[in-house]
Formats: sequence, structure tokens, C-alpha cells
Amino acid sequence: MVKIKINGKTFKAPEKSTIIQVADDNGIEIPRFCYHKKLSIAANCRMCLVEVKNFPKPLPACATQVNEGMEIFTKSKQTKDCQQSVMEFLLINHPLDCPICDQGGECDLQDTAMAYGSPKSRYQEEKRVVLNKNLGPLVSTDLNRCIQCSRCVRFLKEVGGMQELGLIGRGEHAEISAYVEKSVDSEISGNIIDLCPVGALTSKPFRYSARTWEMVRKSTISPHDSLGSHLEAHVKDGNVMRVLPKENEDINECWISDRDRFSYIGINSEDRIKTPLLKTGSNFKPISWDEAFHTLERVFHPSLNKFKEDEVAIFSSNQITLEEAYLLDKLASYVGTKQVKFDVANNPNLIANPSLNGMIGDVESFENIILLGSQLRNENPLLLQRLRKMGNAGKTINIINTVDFDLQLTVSNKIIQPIKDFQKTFEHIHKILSTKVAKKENSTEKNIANLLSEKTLLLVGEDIYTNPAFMNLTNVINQLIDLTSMKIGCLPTGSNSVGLQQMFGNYVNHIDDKKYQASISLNLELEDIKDKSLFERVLKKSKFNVGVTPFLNKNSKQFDLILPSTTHFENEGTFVNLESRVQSFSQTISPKFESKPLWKILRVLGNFIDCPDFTFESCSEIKEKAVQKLSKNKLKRFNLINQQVKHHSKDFWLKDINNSDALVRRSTALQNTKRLRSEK
Amino acid sequence: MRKLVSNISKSLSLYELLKGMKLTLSYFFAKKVTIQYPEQKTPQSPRFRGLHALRRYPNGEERCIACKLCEAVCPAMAITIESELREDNSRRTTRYDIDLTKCIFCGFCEESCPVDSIVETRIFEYHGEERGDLLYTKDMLLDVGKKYEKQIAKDRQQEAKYR
Repeated sequence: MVKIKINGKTFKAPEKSTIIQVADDNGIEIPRFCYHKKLSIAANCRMCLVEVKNFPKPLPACATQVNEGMEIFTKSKQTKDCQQSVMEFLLINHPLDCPICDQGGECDLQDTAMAYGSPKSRYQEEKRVVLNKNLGPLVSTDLNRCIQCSRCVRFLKEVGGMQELGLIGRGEHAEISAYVEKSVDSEISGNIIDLCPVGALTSKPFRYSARTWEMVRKSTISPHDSLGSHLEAHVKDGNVMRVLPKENEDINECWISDRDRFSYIGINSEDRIKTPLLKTGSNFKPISWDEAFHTLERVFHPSLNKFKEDEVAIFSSNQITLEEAYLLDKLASYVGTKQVKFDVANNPNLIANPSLNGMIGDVESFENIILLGSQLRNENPLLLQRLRKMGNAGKTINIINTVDFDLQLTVSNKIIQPIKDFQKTFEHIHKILSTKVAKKENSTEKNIANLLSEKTLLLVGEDIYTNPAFMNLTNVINQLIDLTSMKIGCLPTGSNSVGLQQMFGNYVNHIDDKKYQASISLNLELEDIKDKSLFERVLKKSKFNVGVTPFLNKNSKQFDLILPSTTHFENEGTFVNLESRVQSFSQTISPKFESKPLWKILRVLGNFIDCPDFTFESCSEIKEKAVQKLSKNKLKRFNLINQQVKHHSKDFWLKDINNSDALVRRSTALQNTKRLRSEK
Repeated sequence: MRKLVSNISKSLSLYELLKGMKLTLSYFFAKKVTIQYPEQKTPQSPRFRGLHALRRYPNGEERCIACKLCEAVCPAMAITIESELREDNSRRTTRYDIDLTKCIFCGFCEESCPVDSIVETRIFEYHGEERGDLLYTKDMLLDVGKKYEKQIAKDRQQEAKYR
């Protein structure tokens, strides 16, 4: 700790911290453009110049480390003169088009010019003109407004992993540019919109549609990956206009993925179902909710239609909330179904409690990471970003996978092999460690074996721990855990995979290839399901199929009754993210057309078929009950739960980040981006 | 005692009434200030704040760029704007409504406009037979602007040096 003085007040500051960090920690304002706490220091905007005693020239606060006894003045005449001059220089080439700029009202340059700038302009000459670049369907450019802070360049290089933008030219000719005829394809590229302190990079889908001050900000949780990023939906006239990140250092820091940012476009898709639909012949007839529930009553009421055990199949996605899962489970046991098939999209669960086993932030405290399987870039781009940060900090990232994904990070050791060879590799590692013979071996396995310690984290991707081949692996990995006390964690992908797992224990989620009397599918589309033909076959054999979904899709024709449920933004509920954090969210907008939130549909259905204990009046009432059911079991070793899986699809399923669920699939902007980019 | 006598004599001689009548008589012969509306009209200031209008540039392009400053500054919240990215990539309104029953004619909208698009004209004689008649839409406002553009432009020209 060192003692420094800012504006005459004494502060204690950690050694090697910079002046701007100390000022930020103590609530002292220093204007800045290029400095960002999550990015490297460039010190090229010069806005944060401050006067420091005994220094002949003002120093940039972002790049100057504090020393014992330093005296800093942020409001002195010299500092103010500097700020005013820098502001004047920055505004020389900045067009005065605030009225048509989307950044207007939330612009750092606007605010700083008002607070620190000179009230008069002396510049009479012509301003420079920079041609706009096409950076793809997500980010729109207005490069006349650029002040060359290079935040976007540093973000894509350091956090995004690939330098897709650069600053070319010098002096007045300096401009931001992508590679020739290339767009920005990072899956977290939307963050450069937030980073840009001026209106040079703005959101393309949001362009000119609303002003920052007319929108109501509502918090929600991301439904697209298991991280549970905190989002802020901006709502105007009952429509989500845009989605921004809400800072949460433990989960998403200050970033969100493009999928979280632009999925809202899907809400108003043409595929939205307006009213309940009943199949008559080969066509669908719109009916009222009352009629729909009476139809359901005739099929599912025990006094009218008594089903035998497991004659009704209930399929659900892994984005279902805890509350909905709780109600669904009650309904299922009432109609004689032993087990709701949650998360049918994926392979069956094979091991108990697959979760990260620790906090997301704690991942960074490990020295070595071994990534076993996982399509991290397509499944969880923000977790990948943390690994990338570790790689940059000199920690080792090791990969054992079936496909050589380009993760855009520094990889120390890489083994690419078919999944059946994984066992051999791990046995080899075990042999090297247990025999302790200093063999003159120079293999990747040896390198990895040397890394195993309690400072090592083995992360297992969903593709691997749900694959039957993993059953043979658990033994040898458990032995390695005993031998080296390394830590393990799993990477489930669904926004509520962990919640469902904790609520129902070790549920079996595979679809049985048998004849059902009736089926109910919740928020499922054919594209979501790995084994598409099996799902279609089961629906075909079943007599009465109910589909509860917000959108019409390819397999809607197979349903006899379609009920319009809402999308995530119109729903409320609770998710449990991959670190077992219980996070509730409320409605951001009211349901479109006649659609209803799924928990309300289930609640009313329960009443129609006289299911006992269905008296809940609000979602929070159900949450109280549901949260009690969550188990607190931790993943210490891999325990097999599901020895005999009848059906299993063994093919590798390459996931596409922009095809992960119904909402993302209907976001036109996301669909126009380059797809399946991480496949080499 | 003397005060009482003076009061009684003033009352009996109708002194105060005659004093008042003297003033009435002086105005009876003085020059009249009332005018015969609607045949006659009072002169108007170029800063008169009457009915709103949306203006166009001489080449026919509408001035409004949907910056929404007027909507934000309006103390009565009488203005509603919706904007879009027009086909030629410019920022334009798809809706510009002024609810004249809410409007308090403060002139802030005109003052905030960066492109002199929304203006208040000299027109004050208009009416609506139903509530909805006084909701002016974008087309109606543009029509007002088209009709009175000469006068509007002249007034702005005259006032330019004070703005």
C-alpha cells in the first residue's frame, strides 16, 4: 500500500495501481475515452491528463502508476486547460450530428464535452471524411465520428481472441478498418457497440428505432446458455428495443454474447402463434383458450380418460424454468407419467450432478485447465473468454477433444482423437503418474500428466459426459482425482440444465421408441433435438399430440393441438446456472397476441383436470416450493447413474451458436451472420 | 362632526356618481381600442406561437430527422414520434403526432429543433368538433407547413438574428 494525495485528500492505494484506478475506487471523476478497466492501456486519447506535483508536464492518469507521496490534482488550472484543449482537438474532426446519432443521450463524448469542453469552437476548416465499412449484420459504422480510442481493436484482440479490426494510417488519416472484404465475426462482437465511447459503432438492428431516454430498463437473465448472464432489456411501447449487458463481475463481467444481445429480434417473428390452434383434418383452426382447455380436459382428465402408467409422454427443452418444471412434474405424476423427459434435446445424462462445481470466477484461480471435449465457442462464449484471459496471463490451457475447434486462445497441449481413444490416453496418463518412472518420454500425454495437481481443473463438455464412451472413462478419471487431487467440473449447456438436475435428481431424459397414447411437447423444435427422426417417429405413433410453443415450426403439423406459449422475455421464472446459482427474472414485456406464459398454461390445465394442490396464485409462490426441492449435491467424482441406456445416438452433433433455440433461430440479424464458423 | 356633515352633503349631491360619469363621458369621445373581429384583426408578432407545422427543404425533402428532442422537451408530453431507418439510410419519422388538446403552446419544440422543422405558425383560428380532430398527424402538419411556408420562412428570417 502506498499513500497518495488527490486534490489534497490522502488515499491509500495498492502498489502498482494506476492513478485512474485509485480515482475510480474513491469516486473521483477523471474523464477518459480510451481507458477501460477490462482492456489493456493504450493512453492514446489523452483525455485523462492530470497535474502531478513535481512533474513538469501533465501525466495520463490511466498509464501512470502511483508512487508513495504522489500529489495529484484533478481540478487544477493546468488539468482543466489540458482537458479543454484535448476536447477541442477531439472535436475538430467529430461531426456535429448528435441529433441523428444513435449514441446521442448516452454518449461519452457528448457528456465529456458538456462537462470539460470549451463552450466555443474555433475550428473553421473542413472536417475529415472517412468511408464507412460493412462489418456484418450486427454492427453499423459511422467512422466520421470515430475518435481513434482503439477500444474496439483492443477488445477483439484481447477478449474476442482474434484481431478483426485494426487502426490503419497515421495522424489525420488514421481510421478503424476490418480486413479487406471481411466482417467482424466474433461471437461476442456486439460488445464493441457498448465499448465505443462515441457513435462510430452502433447496433445495426436497433438503428434509429428509439432514443435512450424513452426506454424503460428491465433486468432479466439470459436463456441461451448455462452461464445465466445478467441482461438489461430496454423496453418501449411493450416491445424490447435492444438488450444490453448488466454488469456482474461474478458471471458475465461486463460482456454478453451476440446471441444474448440480438435474440430479442425473434420475439416479433412472423412465426408467432396468435391463438390456440386445433387440427381439423389437415388444417389448423384457431380456437379460444377456453375451448383449448376443454379439449385438454377431455383427453387428460382421469375421470374421462384413464391412462395406464407411462402412456403419456411429456417432452421439454432445457430452457424451462424451475417453476414450470415443478408444475409439470406434478401434472405428469397425476396423469400417470413416471418421468417428464426434460432436456430431450441432448443425449441422456450418464453421471450425477453435472455442474461447474464451483464459481465461474474461481475458474481463473486455477493454474492449469484441461478441456475435455466441449464446443465451448458455440456453447458458452463468455466462459471461453475467461479461459482466453487465463491463457494470456500465462496459465496453461490443454485440450483433449474429438474435433479440432479453433478456440482462439493460447493452447499448451492439444490431443485430437476419436472419443474411443480417450480411455487409452487417460490410462496412459495414469500409468505415467502411478509408475513414477522417469521415462525419457516426450509426449503430449506426459506434458499433461505433469500438470495434474490440485491447481488443475478438468472441464468436461456436454458432448463427452453424455456419450456412452464416457462410461469407460469415469473409472480412470476418478483414479486420477485420487492420485493428484485435481478438481473436476462439467459444462452443461442449457440455461436450466443444472436446475432440472438438482430438482429431479438423476432423471433420465432419453426418448423411448414406443407407442404413447398422448404426448405433450414444451418449447421444443425439431432443430433442437439431436435425434430428429426418433422424435418424429414417436409423435407419429402417438394418438394425441399437444405442442406448447411460441412459434410455428417444421414439426407443428404433427401436433393435434397447439398452444401459444411466450418467449423468454414475456415470461417470468427462475434458472439455475452452471455454478448452481439460483437466479430469478421477471417479465420484461407483456405477452404478445393471445400467448400465455407456460407456467400459467400449466397452472390452468392443472385446474381443468382437477390436479390436487394447484392453488398457486403467483410465480413466486411456486418458486418457494420448487427451490426447496433443489439438492445441494456436489460433483466430487464421476458417479454413473444411468447404466443401461436403451437408445443412444452416437453421432457427433456439431452445435451452431446461432441455431441453439427457437428465439435465436428467428433473430434475422443473427441468422445473417456467418454460421458454423468455428468448424475448421 | 365636520366629517359627518361633509359625508352627508356629498351623498345628497350625488358627487361620487357624477365623478364616475365624468370618466365615462371622457371615454365616450376618446379614440376606440376595440376591433371588429373577425373583419378586423390585431397585428401579430413574428414570434407568435399558434398552430404547429412541419417544414420541408426547398427541394421537397422533409426537414425532420427524428432526433426526438421536441418529444423530450415537451412539458405537456403532447408529441409522439416513431422513427426508422429509411431506405436511403437516412433517419426519418414514421409517425409524428401532436395532441393539440395537450399542447400548451410554450414553443419549446420549435426552440429545441436543430433543423427548424417543427415550427409554430401565426394560425390561431382552427377548431375541432371532436376530441380526435385536434390530434394532428405528420401529414396534416406537413400540409400546414406547405400552405404557409412563405410566411413561416419570412418570420424565421426576420427572427434569425435574435436566435
